[in-house]
Amino acid sequence: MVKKTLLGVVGLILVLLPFIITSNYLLHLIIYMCMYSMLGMGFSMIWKNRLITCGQAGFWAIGAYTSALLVTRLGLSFWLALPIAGIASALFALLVFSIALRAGPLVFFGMSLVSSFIVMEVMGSVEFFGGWEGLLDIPSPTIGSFVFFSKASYYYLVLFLLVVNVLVFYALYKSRIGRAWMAIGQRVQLAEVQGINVYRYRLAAAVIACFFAGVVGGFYAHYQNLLIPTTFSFIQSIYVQMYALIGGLGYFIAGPIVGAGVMVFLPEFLRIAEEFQPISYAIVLILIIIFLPGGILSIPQRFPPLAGILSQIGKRIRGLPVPGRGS
Amino acid sequence: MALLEIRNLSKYFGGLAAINDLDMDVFDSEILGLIGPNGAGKTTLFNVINGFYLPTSGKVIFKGNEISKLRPHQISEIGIGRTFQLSTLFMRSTVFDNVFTGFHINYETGLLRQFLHSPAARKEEETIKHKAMEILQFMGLASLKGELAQNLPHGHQRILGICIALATNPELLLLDEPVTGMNPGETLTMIDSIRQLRDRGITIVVVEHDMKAVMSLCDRIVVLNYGRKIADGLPEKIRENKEVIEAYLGREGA
Repeated sequence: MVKKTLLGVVGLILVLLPFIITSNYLLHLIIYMCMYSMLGMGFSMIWKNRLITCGQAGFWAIGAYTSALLVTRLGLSFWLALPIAGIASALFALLVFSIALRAGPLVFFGMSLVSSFIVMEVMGSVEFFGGWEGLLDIPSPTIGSFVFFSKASYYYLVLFLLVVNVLVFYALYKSRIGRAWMAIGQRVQLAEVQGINVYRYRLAAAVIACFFAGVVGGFYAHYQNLLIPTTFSFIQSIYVQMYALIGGLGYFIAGPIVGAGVMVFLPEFLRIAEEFQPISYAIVLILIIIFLPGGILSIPQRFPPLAGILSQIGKRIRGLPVPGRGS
Repeated sequence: MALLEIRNLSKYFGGLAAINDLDMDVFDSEILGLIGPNGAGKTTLFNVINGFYLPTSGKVIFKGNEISKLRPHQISEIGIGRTFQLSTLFMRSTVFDNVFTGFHINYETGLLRQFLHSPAARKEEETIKHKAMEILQFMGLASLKGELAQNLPHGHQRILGICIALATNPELLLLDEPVTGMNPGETLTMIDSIRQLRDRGITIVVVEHDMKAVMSLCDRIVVLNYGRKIADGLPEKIRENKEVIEAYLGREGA
């Protein structure tokens, strides 16, 4: 009951956010946070299988370019191009990782890294994809005569995608599929002995994660209205890992969302010039690894007094007796 | 016909023969002990049967079908379960979740319905949870279901390992050192549990170094040394076998 009320309140805040926050710039940052959350959740899903991917930016790019090219060159509707962007990315993941996973986790890591580099090089070098100058004049999505232009309209679109992403991942994690991933992540050999086809489950996680990365790419292309290959550089893949890590690697949905929030808003609040942003990220990363290896969401567990306070607050909300207050 | 037949099986690591031209049978509903000095090839044999290793030559036949080339997850689907020498568990999960996760095969609803959490899938999940609790009750771990596996004492971890293996509903269960590191009381309980499993119709092969436990538990014993079978028979016969004594204690005057 409490959970449902809480969810309702959060949902209401999310829906009303554009009315609360009128600053276009803040909304822009929130839109980025939503996109990065989705990328981070993909990394987490792969990480759940004890695989590390260093290539989510590449799959993000495939989605972005697929959607942008379909709409600009073929005149396809954005609403059709968006799922196709996800499928294109997923198919590429299937191709690369079905081979890589046969050779094990280390090769998976290497191939994810390499494929990310290849994607950027191809997009930059081939004129058809717009070259290094980039792909310009990508149209905004439209519904009938309504054109997505305001930050608020884009915010609702990305929020919808994020919610779908969260629901799909949540349903997966709560099912036998999620339990199989958990088993693989904890003990590969034991998982195999219990009848889990480790290769297939790992491949499925990678393909699903890349599908959503592709969808994010599709959204990104039509939000920015232009694509530049260097946006999808190697460092972006590292950032994706950091979203998951800073939020907490053990929190497969909330972790990346919190991490992406920190990474997007921290440099803004600290008013750091763009050239120094990577340094601020590095400092945050080092601090997290040293002091909070479980990520930000592990703070209550790591500091038991805080966990106690939180559970007392929870009990108060639920109207349960709170110990130590003379009841 | 034997439940499991091993025919001319060899497994080489480089030039070293871990299993050398081995022939043996496991019969329905028996408890077979597999003993031998360290490095005799006992665990390697388990790893070949269960699909972790491909045999260099020879065959493993289960219920009349050759299974030598199947992968581990396929082996568990046809009804062979196993446990590991070291406590190989899902350490960061609860005791209950360990067994619940262990149920992967034996689901009837498809993956799509499970992803959608359809009523049928939910109902099946409840049934599986119920079965997981039954296993824990049967093996005496029900009271610890909420405990993290990593916090259990060693003896309980070994029992939990068997509980997980039981989740695949095996016909043949390979137990790798089930009582090693246990105190005498725990050993007795474990022996009793293994006998009860056999009474439920599960055939059991057990690798164990605790001779007292092996002698009292097993119906038949096979002795391996340097990957070869050197003896095969009733526990009393094995105890008196000259070759076996030599393998364990060394040749007189050597």
